[in-house]
Amino acid sequence: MTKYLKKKTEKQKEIINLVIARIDMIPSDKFISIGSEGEFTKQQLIEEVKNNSKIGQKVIEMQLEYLRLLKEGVLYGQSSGSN
Amino acid sequence: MGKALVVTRPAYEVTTHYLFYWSSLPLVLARKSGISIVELVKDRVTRKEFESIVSKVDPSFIYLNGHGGSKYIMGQYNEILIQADDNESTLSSRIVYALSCSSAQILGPKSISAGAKAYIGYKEDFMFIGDHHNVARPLNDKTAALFFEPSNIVVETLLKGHTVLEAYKKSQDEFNRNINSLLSSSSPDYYLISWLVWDRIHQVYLGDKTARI
Repeated sequence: MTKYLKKKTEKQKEIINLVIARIDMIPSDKFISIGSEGEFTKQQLIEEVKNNSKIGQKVIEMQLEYLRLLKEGVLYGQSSGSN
Repeated sequence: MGKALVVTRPAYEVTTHYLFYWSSLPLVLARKSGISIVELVKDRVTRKEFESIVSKVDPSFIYLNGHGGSKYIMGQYNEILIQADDNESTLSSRIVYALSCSSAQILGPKSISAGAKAYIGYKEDFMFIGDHHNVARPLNDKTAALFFEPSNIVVETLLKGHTVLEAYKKSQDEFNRNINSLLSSSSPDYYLISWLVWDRIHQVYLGDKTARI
């Protein structure tokens, strides 16, 4: 494995661990509805992220988007609007 | 075209069960304001019924609840009700609010091109978190309320005669209020913020922002 690929893989693992830690904050008595994909317990969602499934990738995308907005300081009160 | 509302309310699993109950609340206001309402509920939420009712009632406002994708919105048991490049002209000359995943990506713009006045919807999956103990009583679910109340405000604001832009802004404000309430308290529900932000940033309006029902 090249140094670049190794670094990339490590980065992906870090992201997955970060997202799992964030999902783990959800209490066990809650369910998460992901649109047409259905409803999940937090443990099921963690498995989806670990398995890098379509649902797992969606949740990773969602959490990374949140963290990006948080970092940019534009999280609260900004509308995306349209037109 | 008089002031009339057609609303679809499928219910056949947990997510649509929540949509079914939460979508009942703005209808109370609609009844009080004298707007004519036609509800398609559960087994009646089929394409045939939907097209027939819209043609007959000629509503100024269509409120769609159900699963969806970028090009379509579904009814009971995932039957496609409305689909881009197929029957989006059903929405022509109307204001549409779709509480459905991703339909503002393609179906929304196609509807506007086909003559819909305005379309409020979501460009990505509408996600929410609920409480297992309240699945049988979705309206008692205070966690899910944080997601559905901002959605209901779209409908309520339009029913009060406000514009599409005002309905969108009030909904965004409600999302922000809920987010801020979780931030400002030392709430154990802090984990909800990222999920609320997701729905808020993917809610959009398309078409004429000054349109009213």
